[in-house]
Amino acid sequence: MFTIETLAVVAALAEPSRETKIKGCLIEYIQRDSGSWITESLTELDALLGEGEVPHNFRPTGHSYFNARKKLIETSALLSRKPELVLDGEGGIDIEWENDGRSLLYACRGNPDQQDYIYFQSDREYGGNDYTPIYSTDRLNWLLKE
Amino acid sequence: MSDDGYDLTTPPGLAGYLDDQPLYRAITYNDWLKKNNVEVRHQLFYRINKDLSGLSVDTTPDACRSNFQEPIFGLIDMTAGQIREVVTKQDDDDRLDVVPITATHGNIKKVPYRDDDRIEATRIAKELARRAHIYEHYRVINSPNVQI
Repeated sequence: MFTIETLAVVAALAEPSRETKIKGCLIEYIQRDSGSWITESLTELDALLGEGEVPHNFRPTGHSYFNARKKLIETSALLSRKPELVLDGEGGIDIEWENDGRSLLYACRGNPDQQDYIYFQSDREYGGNDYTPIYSTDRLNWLLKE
Repeated sequence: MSDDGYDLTTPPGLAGYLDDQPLYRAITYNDWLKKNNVEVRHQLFYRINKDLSGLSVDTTPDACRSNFQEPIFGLIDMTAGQIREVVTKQDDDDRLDVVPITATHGNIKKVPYRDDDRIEATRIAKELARRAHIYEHYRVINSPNVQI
């Protein structure tokens, strides 16, 4: 599970526009304990907010942005495989992993009244549920199992 | 569910699609075209709020392109029969359908909103994406729809 320090870092990084020395130190701190992909994924996530790069009606909401950021940091400590970030077309962000025929998706919905969820699928099964840290850990184990 | 996304009525004067009818749908966001340029991401098939009557398709590429003033990034095509292969729920014989609305425009029916059934909506989107074929794709260079 996540340490108090990790959660503190997640909270501290919740302000994307603030480029401070402290933020740089925090990213270094995260990288020590996380998959090497986290910096690249956070950069990709920030790029989704970019003016001109993304059509206005596709741009992520602040709600989905912060939730995706938090989930990326949390999961980066648990697996080394870099996810893909895909806009869902209605302000949300999907975080997706593929591994050996298995697909795992974290849907970070655009509006606070929409519940974030996890979806999984393989050749033999599919399903999903509300996002919770416990369910997340369970599904990440499913993704990586031999 | 009582919305138009489940109404299979074909308007008078129009014939229903045969299974071999090719249908086209626009790729409206660059990243929904995968980097290999031969697959699309399933998000192209999420039914969003504006899709009141279902997911839009057109019977010709020109008709499909003409729906958009903003840049699009390509077109996918699939047959009506491929759409009708997709079951609406696992272990259920009920399947998606696609019906004409005008002479050139149609709607894929029975696709749930994610707010109503997020698991089946996601599975169905993935099933449709798996069947979709890239008809053409573009790179936007300061003017809309320049084909590469």
